Amino acid sequence: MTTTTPVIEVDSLTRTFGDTTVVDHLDFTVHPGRVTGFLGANGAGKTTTMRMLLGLEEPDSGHARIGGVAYRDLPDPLRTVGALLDPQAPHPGRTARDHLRWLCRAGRIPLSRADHLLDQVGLAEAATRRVGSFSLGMRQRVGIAAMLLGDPDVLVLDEPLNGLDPEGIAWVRALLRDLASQGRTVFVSSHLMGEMEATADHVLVLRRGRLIADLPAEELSRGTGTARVRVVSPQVDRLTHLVAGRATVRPGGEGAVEVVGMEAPALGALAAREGVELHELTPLRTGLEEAFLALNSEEEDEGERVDHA
Amino acid sequence: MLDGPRKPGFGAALAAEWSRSTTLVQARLAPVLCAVVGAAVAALFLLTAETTTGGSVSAMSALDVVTTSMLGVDAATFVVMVLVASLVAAEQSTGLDRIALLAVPRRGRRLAASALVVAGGGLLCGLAAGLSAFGAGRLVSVLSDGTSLAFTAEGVARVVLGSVVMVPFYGTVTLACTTIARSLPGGVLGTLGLFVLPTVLAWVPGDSLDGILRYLPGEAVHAVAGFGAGTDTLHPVAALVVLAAWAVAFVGVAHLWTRRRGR
Repeated sequence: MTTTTPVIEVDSLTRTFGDTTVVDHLDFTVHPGRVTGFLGANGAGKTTTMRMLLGLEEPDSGHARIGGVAYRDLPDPLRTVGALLDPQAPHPGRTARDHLRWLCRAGRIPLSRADHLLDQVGLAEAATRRVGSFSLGMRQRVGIAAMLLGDPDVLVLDEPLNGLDPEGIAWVRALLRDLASQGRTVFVSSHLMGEMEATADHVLVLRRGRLIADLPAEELSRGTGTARVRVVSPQVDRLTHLVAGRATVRPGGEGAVEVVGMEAPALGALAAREGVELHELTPLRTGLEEAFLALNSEEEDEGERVDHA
Repeated sequence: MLDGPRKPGFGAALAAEWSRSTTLVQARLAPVLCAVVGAAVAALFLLTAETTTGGSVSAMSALDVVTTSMLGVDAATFVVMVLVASLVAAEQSTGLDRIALLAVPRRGRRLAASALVVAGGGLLCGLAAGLSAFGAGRLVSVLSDGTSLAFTAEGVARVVLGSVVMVPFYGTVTLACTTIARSLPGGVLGTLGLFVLPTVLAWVPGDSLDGILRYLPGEAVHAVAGFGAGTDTLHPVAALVVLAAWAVAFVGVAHLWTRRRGR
């Protein structure tokens, strides 16, 4: 249960481009103190939603508010919301320091923050180099420095892990966790489910502009699909006979079997009651990616049933 | 929590736009480039005057020499048009315009600040081009017949400074046209259209458009600079007001266009 007051509120947000409805009556809230992942395949409507949230696109209907206010009505936007949208945005001919300094001037932020942030993101040595000579990872760090210039409480990041190497991904992940632990609202879109699994506390799953899930990341991983348990036992045949009708047993590799359709506690209790020797009993967690695909598949089936009705 | 003043207003937007423009080497070199182009084009037109107009520089009046030199400012105007269009189009293609909108979410405020920065930078470029073109004209004149043109001579300062006005004006129009067209060619061609409009309309037979022509930017620039003054030519101050009104109208249309488009 969520006890905090939502900071980001999206209410019946809709946006169409021509005949295509990219965002379709979207409703959700984002709370402080945790990383909220905004998941969906490419083209699901994540970027358009974020742009409407940040006042960069006009919705056809509905509202997107931050702290109860539309972005463009925020009196001090850079000190309220930090956004990371496109690593290619800084002009290649401008130095990293100059890029941050003009933003400082726009937000009446002390110019010293530019060097402070460049140091924080590990680019102090490259401060006077032109952004055009930077790698994608370095540009992403410049974007993150720009996002943090005003020390904002709300952070909105659109696909921040795109194109990053494993070290960069780990760095961004740690940064987001740290920012959330400080009580900030961290709202991150991504189509990289595996990466978000290690980052997000809560997920909003978008499909074709509609919200199909709004739940803790753990719950999504755990609650979708069928329970699976890895078992190592010298009495596999007996175990198979015992669970027949309730679960199925299939090879699990390395001398183990996978019991599909029973939770680990129930299986363990059954084996103990019947005197079946177990050497290993491991619940197999559904990965976020797998859960996401299952969720999408369910929605697809649901859509087809409605279409045929 | 950061300390310091809050609620950034138009001044902060203006400072940011100026900082964003002047931190690019292209923008910093623009006055120098305009000065070089202005002088080169002025010298070229004067040195070829005998071939193109049938009259040599030594046969021209001092004011005619200065007036011809100011073709260098026209050339500098094209340089500024291309520069402004390329910078605006580059910001749009990379997404930097979105970052700018995040920093200054009020589109009208941001566009007005951009327009003022372009106008200010254009004025610097125009002054550099005008003065260097005048200098080139003076040099050619001295080398031709030993006549030294004086900036303080009657009408000269008005021709030079009046011509300068076209650079910030067309620079601002280019900003508006590129914002609307979202491309370098679109921005330049839109501005060139306005640039040549008086010439095109002058081809219309009869005198039905005479009352309109003087309110077009090209004629207004001529009125400010004192070129071909006639009975229906606007007063220089009125011509400046006409130019300002055109610039505001173009920027206003660009603002409405971006608001409607959502970016």
